[in-house]
Amino acid sequence: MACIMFQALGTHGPVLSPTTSLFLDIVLLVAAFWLLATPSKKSLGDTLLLLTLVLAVSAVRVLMQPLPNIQPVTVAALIVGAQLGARRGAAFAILVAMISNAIIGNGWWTIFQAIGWASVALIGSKIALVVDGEIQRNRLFIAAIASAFVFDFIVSLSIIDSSFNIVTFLTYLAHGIPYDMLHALGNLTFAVWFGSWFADVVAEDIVVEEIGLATVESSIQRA
Amino acid sequence: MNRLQKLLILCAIFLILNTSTVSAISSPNESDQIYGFDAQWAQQFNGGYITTAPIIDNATLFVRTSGMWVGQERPQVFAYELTGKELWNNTNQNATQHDMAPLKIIEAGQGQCGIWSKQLIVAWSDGLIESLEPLTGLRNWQFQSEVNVWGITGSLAQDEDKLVASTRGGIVSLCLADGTLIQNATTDLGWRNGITVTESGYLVGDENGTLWHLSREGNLSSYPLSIGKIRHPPLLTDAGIVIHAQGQGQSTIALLDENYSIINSHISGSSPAMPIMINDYLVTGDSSELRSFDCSQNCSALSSLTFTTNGEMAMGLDGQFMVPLNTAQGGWKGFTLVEEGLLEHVRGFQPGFSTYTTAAPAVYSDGDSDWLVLANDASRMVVYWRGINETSIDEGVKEYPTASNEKQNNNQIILLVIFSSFCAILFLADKPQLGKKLSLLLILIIAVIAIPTLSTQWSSKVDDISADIGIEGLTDGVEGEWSQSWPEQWQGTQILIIEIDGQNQMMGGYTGYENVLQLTTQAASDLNISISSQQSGIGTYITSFDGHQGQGWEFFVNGSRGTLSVENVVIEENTIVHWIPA
Repeated sequence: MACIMFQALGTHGPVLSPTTSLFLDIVLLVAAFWLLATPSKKSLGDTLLLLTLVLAVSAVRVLMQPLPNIQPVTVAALIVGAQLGARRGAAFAILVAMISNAIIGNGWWTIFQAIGWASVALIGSKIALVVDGEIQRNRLFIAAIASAFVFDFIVSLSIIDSSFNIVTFLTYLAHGIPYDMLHALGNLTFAVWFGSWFADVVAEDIVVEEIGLATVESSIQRA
Repeated sequence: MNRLQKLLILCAIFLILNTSTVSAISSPNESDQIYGFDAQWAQQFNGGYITTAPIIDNATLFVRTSGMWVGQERPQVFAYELTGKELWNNTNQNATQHDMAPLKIIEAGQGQCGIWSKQLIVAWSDGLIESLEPLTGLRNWQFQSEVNVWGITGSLAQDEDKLVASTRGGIVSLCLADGTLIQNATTDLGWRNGITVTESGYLVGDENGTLWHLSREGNLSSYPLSIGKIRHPPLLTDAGIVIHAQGQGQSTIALLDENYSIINSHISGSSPAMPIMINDYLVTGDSSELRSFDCSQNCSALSSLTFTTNGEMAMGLDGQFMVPLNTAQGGWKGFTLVEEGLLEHVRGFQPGFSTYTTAAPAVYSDGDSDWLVLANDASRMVVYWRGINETSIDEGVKEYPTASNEKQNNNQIILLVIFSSFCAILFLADKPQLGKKLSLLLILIIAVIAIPTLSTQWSSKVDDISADIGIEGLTDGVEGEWSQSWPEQWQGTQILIIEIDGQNQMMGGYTGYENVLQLTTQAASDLNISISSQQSGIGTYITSFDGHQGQGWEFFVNGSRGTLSVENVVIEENTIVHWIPA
């Protein structure tokens, strides 16, 4: 099971009309905001933090775009999912896909990339990457490698059209294995070098925000 | 390692990435393959344009850039060896307008006003005329002509021992030996109004549509033509003098008799290019058409093709003349005149980095090889080479390695050595954790460098395995094998088929193209099929042919579905690429 999204692309997938493209963008945006509208109200600072993360990671993705299938977003989605939860992790993934693709190139694949990274964020939230506030490094490394294949497979689904059958799709996946391996290696490198740091950045700021919020709420209750 | 150190390393990585991006711009890329030629080296100049043709003299390439009118960038003139080594460059800090006066080489000689050595003449938009020593760029002499907003923008000419130039508002003739002013006449204001030397003197047009004649004796005469602005050197033909004047929303191609009266005229499109003569045939271009005329007698119209060109045209190689396409697609088209002057499109010359184009190409033959230099309005110049004795392109590359490629390879090796040494030192210094981290980074860098080769080999293996187990991957209607109905001369060559509206558009006989993108770009250009593509970090997408988007496009190579992006699918000499709507 492996593939590299559209790097291994003979088929170009459907070309979206402006209306369809707009519709998909709206769907993605609505999904992102729906995910952000969690049952418990978040502070402005909390929202700003997420937006800052989205912009920073989008910028990193654009900067690293010349490197083939090096995807820093995957590890970021994993950690954001682990630290902020599945909903905000998924929202983060959708927004990063939309913003960075606005520069790199938007199309049918954006929706699959958004789904792919949202799935990675979901995985990150479910596998106990953070225990007692500490990132579990070995678990993170394994998840980083595995998430590369998960993401690439999901994005590969975008090329399926009426001319594909299971054999041609498997052949297509086989062609992309070297790029999947590179994605996994890139993820591992990011996780080793920046995983703990990035997890701390997200966690520290959240703690500050939560302390602030808790202080205000307790003051209100006392009053 | 603290956060600051990590951030510094992150910055360093971005710096390396950024550097590699800049290098890519100044190196010929894969799609820079021009039919039969191999890209040798490229130069991306600073902001501005290249609006007039580079010239090659005695294996030295000269090119000039134009400023952007604003900011700190100033126009420059560069001299290079054909291998890419820069010999010199001169900047004119005072030139703040569009510099488009063609560069001119004057051979050594002597005359009444003295002896002169070989020189490169450079005229600037600040009115300065310079005579430079071609190999060093050192100035022999200079002359400052008048400036009215701008100075010289048209072509200069040699009249025996004199250099003649149309200045902003007049005509000057200078001694080639020392630049001494010999003649100076005042006309109305001109722009890009090059000068023509005739038997009796000099001809130049102006922005009012007046043709001026200055005799060698100093008599100045004016002939209002009232057909528009004259922005090229008048052309001398057997039938008379030809002017292609720019009017309001149209242009007029006029033939003048010896008394400078119009005896024949044709209305054409707007913004005319500089017309050229090819034997007895006149070729004109504008925003609407490329046209040919028979000027052996009365410049009668022969043929026209829909085209957009507004700059220079020039003879290329193989009997073709090359015309820049001044649209967003850009590039150059090669034409010939067949059957008594009828225009025939031969092929396109479409560099990988295309944009609006106005400068004619430079061509040069040195016995064993031909050189072709293409430069566009984005100030990107690419130098192409081909061996006349059909030396293979790969051998050509080895014979003429690019300086930038060598530098890039050296940088990669140096980077790897530094990293490896650093990792080893850290392990020896009892810092295995950091050593492991750096080793991982080193492996990633090696993987990134190796992935194109690995992926191609892997794909080839997958194809072989697929074939062995009987996975054909063929789709109905896809041409995968040679057809007897095709022209015999296509056999064993690269063939491209594009299915548009159920009709196969085909072109074959190509050789030397290395990937699907190169072949598709060239063949589509030759078929007059426009291509729209989309770039992303994950490959190039062909989104439409001739505006047909449909549900997307897919390609097959020898009947097998393409499994990599178009620039990553390597093709052999005997290859059929078939594009069909998805």
